[in-house]
Amino acid sequence: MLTVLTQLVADVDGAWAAAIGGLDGLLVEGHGVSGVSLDLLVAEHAGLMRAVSDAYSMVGGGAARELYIRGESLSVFVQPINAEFFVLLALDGRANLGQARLYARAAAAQLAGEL
Amino acid sequence: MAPRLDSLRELPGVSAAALLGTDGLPLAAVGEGAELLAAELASLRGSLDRLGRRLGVGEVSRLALTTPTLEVVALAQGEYTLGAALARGVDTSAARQHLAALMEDVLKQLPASADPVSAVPAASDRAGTNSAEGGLL
Repeated sequence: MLTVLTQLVADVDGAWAAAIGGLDGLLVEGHGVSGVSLDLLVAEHAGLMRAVSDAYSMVGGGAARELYIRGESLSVFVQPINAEFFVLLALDGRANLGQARLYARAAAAQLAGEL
Repeated sequence: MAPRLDSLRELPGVSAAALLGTDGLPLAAVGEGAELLAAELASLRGSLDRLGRRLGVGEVSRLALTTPTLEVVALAQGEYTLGAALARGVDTSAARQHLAALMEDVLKQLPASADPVSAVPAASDRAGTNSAEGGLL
């Protein structure tokens, strides 16, 4: 799993961390090139994913397929792996979102067999 | 509204085409692998623009690459890049002419900035400090 995350960070321009998280908020595995707490990122974004899933269930939008949040100094792309786990990719302000979507999706498909 | 790229698919050998902004997301795309083409063209353009800037020769306006099975041709103007993937060995001149004509339409139809958020300075920019947010490719 760590190899997949390491490759993901290497392949996406502007990515500085990747993690596998559970929707319960716990970090399963992580790889990062900075000191930011992946535990905290996973915990907070698991909560956001749960909120998004609840909201979309309510409006008939189905399960969340991806979630992207762009902050002034931090952006995060979240790609669900299955009903319980997701890949989180932390990006800087000039990241290549096209690469993030494609390669996070590929990583999730790869990880689905292990989780 | 982004222009449609269907006409590019009618050219001989074209397998995919994409119009993209700086973030690598396709604004318009046709053909299998167009999303990948968009993502990687944005990455290439970023690297090439840095090269041009460091060499002091300006920004890249055209790029072309060839693999054993594929040719990729692309035009870059402002924040937009328009590219097409063709089978190797096909004459790319028709595709290049078509890309140039389409790019003119793009520049008329789309805003100067591909990223609506980048028009708004980041808080750190407003405070006069460095930010990774505001720059182009």
